Amino acid sequence: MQNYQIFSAGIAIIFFVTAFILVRRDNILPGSAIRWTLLSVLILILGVFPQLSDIAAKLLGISYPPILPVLFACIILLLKALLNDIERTKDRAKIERLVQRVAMLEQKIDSATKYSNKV
Amino acid sequence: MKQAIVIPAFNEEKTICKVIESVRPFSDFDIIVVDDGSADSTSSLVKQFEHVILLPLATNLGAWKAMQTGIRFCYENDYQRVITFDADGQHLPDSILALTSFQKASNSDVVIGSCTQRGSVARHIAWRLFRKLSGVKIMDITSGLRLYNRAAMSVLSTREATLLEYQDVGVLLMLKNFGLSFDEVKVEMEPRQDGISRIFHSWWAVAYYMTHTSLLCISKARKNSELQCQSSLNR
Repeated sequence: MQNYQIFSAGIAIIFFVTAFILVRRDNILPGSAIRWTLLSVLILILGVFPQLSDIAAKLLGISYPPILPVLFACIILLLKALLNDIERTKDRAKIERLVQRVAMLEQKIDSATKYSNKV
Repeated sequence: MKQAIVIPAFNEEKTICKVIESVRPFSDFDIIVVDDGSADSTSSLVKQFEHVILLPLATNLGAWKAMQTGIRFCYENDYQRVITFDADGQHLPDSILALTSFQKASNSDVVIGSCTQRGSVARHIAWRLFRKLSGVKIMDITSGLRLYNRAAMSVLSTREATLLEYQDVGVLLMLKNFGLSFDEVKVEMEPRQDGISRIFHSWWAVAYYMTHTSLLCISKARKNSELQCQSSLNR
């Protein structure tokens, strides 16, 4: 095993173990847990066998192979950021509508109490 | 006919009582005040008025979403007509009559109380730009004094309307895309008493508002929406 291979494998193993522990502790939602586990396995494979990116780069006609995993990581991160924004928008609308609903319910309770006090 | 005046209020302890008193003579209307998470005594002041319906928001949601709370409340409680009225004393109670009588005559879904004399030259240029971009043919696109009928209330109570940030162009554009009709009637307005605009409090806020609204106009100007599709299907 070459030095660079040990280095990349080390990083990949740390990431894999961290992701696995987080999944085990239920710190990640089940849906995301599958994604993170798959991703950490992929990183583990690429980390242990970095020459795989050389083969893929040759197949795709890319002259600088190390850029391939970097590009892959960038696209995944961008996609994730985009999905997170969509999720955040949905959550915000949900929270704001709930706040509105709570206000309406509070008013209902208030008027019911006023009415029962009068009676 | 059940009808209401909705007054969204955020830290308006100086003016809210005066505004409520001013609309009190309109006994056909229920008065609904939405307290937008005020940090001052707005809420407790409103509670002193027995006949006023108070909707207290747990946190500050901004002017449009506070107004939407009032509109949603009216929609769910079978109100037929709602008038939105500012809590800062800018709107005059006489305008309410002008809006209702105009709506009775024109039967439009939305009637806007327009006062184009207010606003600086820069603001007029911005209004013109947004009119062009959005295709909304209303002179005073930022006026908060509006009358909505039940159809408009149903559109404005949706989740999509919750995603809007300001009550001006976005709301009008949405109503237009849903095929609703609007008209405007000239009214008088008082200058703002505290002199500070809620939207334009800094240059950064102005830049954000301009970019946000331009993007909104460009992305939604040609959008067709559900109701329009439904009405064309029913024809």
